[in-house]
Amino acid sequence: MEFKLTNLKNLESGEYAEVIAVLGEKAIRRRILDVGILPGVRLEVVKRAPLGDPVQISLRGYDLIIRKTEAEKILVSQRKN
Amino acid sequence: MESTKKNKTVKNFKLSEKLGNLRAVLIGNPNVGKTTLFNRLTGSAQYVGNWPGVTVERKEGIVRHNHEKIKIVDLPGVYSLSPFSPEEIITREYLINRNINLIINIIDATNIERNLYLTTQLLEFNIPIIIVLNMSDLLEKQGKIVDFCEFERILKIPVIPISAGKNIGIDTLVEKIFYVVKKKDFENFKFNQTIPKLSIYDNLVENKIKKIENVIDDLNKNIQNKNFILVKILEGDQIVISSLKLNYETIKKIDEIRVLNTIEIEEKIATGRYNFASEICKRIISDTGKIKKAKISRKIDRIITGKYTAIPIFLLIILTIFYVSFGPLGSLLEESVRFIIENGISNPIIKILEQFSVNKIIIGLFGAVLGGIGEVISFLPQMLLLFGLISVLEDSGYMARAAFVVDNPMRKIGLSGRAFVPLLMGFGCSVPAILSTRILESKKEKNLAIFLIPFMSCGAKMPVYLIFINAFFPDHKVLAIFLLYMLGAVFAILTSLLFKNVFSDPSATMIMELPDYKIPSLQNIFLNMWERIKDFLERAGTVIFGSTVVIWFLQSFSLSLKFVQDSSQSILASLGNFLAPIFNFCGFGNWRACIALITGMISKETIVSTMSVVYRSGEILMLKEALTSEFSVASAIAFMTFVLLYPPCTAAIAISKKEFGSGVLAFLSVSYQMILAWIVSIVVFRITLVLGHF
Repeated sequence: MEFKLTNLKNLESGEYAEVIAVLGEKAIRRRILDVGILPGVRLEVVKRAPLGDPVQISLRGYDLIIRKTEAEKILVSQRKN
Repeated sequence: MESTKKNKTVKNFKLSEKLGNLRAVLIGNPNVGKTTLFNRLTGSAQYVGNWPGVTVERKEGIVRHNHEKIKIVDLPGVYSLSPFSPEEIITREYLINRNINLIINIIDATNIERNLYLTTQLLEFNIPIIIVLNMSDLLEKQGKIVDFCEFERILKIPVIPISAGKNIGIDTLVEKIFYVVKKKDFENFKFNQTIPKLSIYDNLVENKIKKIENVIDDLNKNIQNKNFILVKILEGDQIVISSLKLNYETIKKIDEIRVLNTIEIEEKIATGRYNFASEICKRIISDTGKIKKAKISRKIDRIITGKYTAIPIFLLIILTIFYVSFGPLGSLLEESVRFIIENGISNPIIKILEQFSVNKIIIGLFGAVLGGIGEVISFLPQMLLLFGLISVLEDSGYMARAAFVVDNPMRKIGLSGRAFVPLLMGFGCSVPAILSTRILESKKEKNLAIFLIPFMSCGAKMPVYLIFINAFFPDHKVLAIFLLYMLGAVFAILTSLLFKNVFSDPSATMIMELPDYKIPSLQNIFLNMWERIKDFLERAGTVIFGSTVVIWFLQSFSLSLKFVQDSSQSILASLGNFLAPIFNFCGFGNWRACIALITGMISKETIVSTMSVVYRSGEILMLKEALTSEFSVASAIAFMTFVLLYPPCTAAIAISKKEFGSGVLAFLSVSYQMILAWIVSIVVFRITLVLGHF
C-alpha cells in the first residue's frame, strides 16, 4: 500500500486522510490544535462551499468549517490505490 | 437608551453582590445550549452586563432552591483555555482569580469527545465540578448509550444527564448543585487528590511537569490552582508566566526543563488531552446495535449547502424574512395595531377631554403625544417578526451554514462569513448588531463590520419608509422596501471596498464548528423578542415621549412664547428654516422635513412621531395626505435615501464608539455617513427628476 503526503487543501470531497503535522504561526496553529486537528487523527473532507472555499471537514464525530488558507497548513497522508 | 441600561446593570450587580456568598460558574463550548440552561436555571433573575475592559457579554443570575440561593456566572463559550481570544482570557482569569465554589461544565452529549477537551483543562483547577450532559435525549436517536455511572466513576465527579431544551433533569441538577456546594468536605471532587494518576499526558510531559513543580515549590510561593499553572508554564504561556513574576534564575531553570520548543510541547499536551477524552468515550459510549440513521444534518445539508442549491436557498430565506415581516402579514398586524390604538385609546381620550371642555392647548398636547407614540407603536409587530425570524435562524443552526456559503464573497469585501450574522441583525437594530460583532475574531474585521452595520437599514427606519411608501407607492410596498434595503447593501459593499485596505487583516482565520440542525427553542425566541419589546417600550416612554412633547411645544409657540395656530410662525419653523437650505439640493429643503431628520438622531422612530406632530396640524388630519401635498415623488425618494444612509441614532453611535474603542473612528464613520447621505440623496433626487420627464 502506498501513501501520499499532501496538505488538506488538496483533498477532494469525500476523501479521507490522516493528519501528519500542523504548521503555521502560533495563534492560528494553536486554534487548529484546540479544535482537535492533531497528528494521528483521521478526517474526512465532506464538501467545499458552493463557491469553492471554505471546506467542511469531519473529525472526532463532528463537523468543522476551515478556510483553504488554514487547510494548507495541515499536512496529511492519504492512502493511495 | 444605552446609558440608562448600563446604570441599571451596575445597580443590579451591587445588589447581586449582597445575595449570598456562594458562587458557581457555567462553562462550556459554544453551541452546547449554555444560554438555554442558564435561562432554565435562573429564570428571569438575571443581569446582563460587560466584562470589565473588554466587550464580551457578562451574565449573572441567581439559582434558588428551598430558600437558599447561589449566584451563577455565565462564562463565555470557549473550546479551550488558550491565551488568544478575549473569551478564553476572561474565562481563565475568572477561574484563576475568583473565589469559585463550583464549576458547572456543560457538555454536548452528542459530541462528548471534543467537549471533554475543555473538561480536561477545568479538572486542573482546585474547584469542584459537576458535568452536565446536555441533549442527552438525542443519544437514543443516534443509536448510542452512555454509561453515566462509569463516567462518574472514571472522573470521580457528578455527571447529570439533562435536556435543557425540553426541561428534563433540571431539578436533579439544581439539587446536585446545592448538595455539592454545601458539602464541606468536597475533597472527593478534587481531581488530582483522590485519583493521583488519571494520567492525561504522556510520561515525558508528566516528568517535565514534576520538575517544574519542584522548581516552583522551592520558591515557597503560595500558588492557587497549581496544576493548571504548571501546565501553562510548560506550554510557555506568556500571560501566566509573567503574572507569576519569576526571577531570572527560575525562568532559566524552567527553560532548561522545557528543552523542546513550544510547538512540540503544545502538540504533546493537546494530544494528551484528546487521547484522554477519546479513551473515556471508548469506555462509556456503546452502540445500541440499532441501525444508525445517517446523520440527518448531512442529508439536509445536501440541499441547504449543495453546490447549486445553496445560494438560491440563501436568497430565498432572506427574501422570505422580508416578505413575512413587511408583506401582507406584517402590514395586517401593523394596521390592526394602528386601528386599536386610534379607536381604542387615542380618540376616546380626546373625546373625554373635549367633553370636560379642557383647555384647547392641553388637548392639542394630548393629541400630539398619543398620535406620535401611537404611530411608532404600530410598527412594533413588524420589528418583532423580523427579530423573531432572525433568532429562529440563529437557534436552528442555519446561521453557521450561511457563514459557510457566503464566506468567499464576504472575503472579497474584507469580511468573513461569520460577519453575516451581525450584518443581518443590523436589519433589526444596530445596537445589538454592533454588540454581536464580538463573535468576530480579528479586531480589524470587527471594526469594518461596525462601520458597515448602519448601512443595513435598521427596523426603526422602516416606519419612515412605510409612511412614504404608503403615500406614494401603495401598490409596490414589498418591492419598494426591498429596493431601499438593497441600496443600503450596495453602499455597504462600496464602502467596504473603499476602506478595505484600512481594515483588511490577512492573518484572519475562520475555523468554526458546523453544529447539527435543531428545532429552535421557543423560550429563547420569546426571551429575545421580549427583550426587544422592553427596549422599545422603554424608548417609547422616555425618548419618544419626551421628544414628542418638546416638538409639540416648539411648534405650538412662537419665539415670543405665544401660542400660535399656524405652525409656520413657531420656534420650530424658525429653527428648521435656518437649516433647511442645506437640503434644497435634495428636494426637501423645508423646515418640517429638516426638524424630523434632526430628531431622528435621537432615535429613528422619532422621525415618524415628529412628522405626525408637525404635518398633522390644522386642517390636515392624515399624515398620508400631508406627505403627498408636501413632497413630490422625487423628493420623497430622496428623503428616504437620506434616512437610509445618514448616521444611526445616538444609542448606536455611542455603542459603536465603545466597540471601536476609539472616538476618532466613531467620528469618522458618522461624518462619512452624513456626507454620503447628503451627496447620494442629491444624486437620487436629480436622477428621479430627469426620469420623471420621460
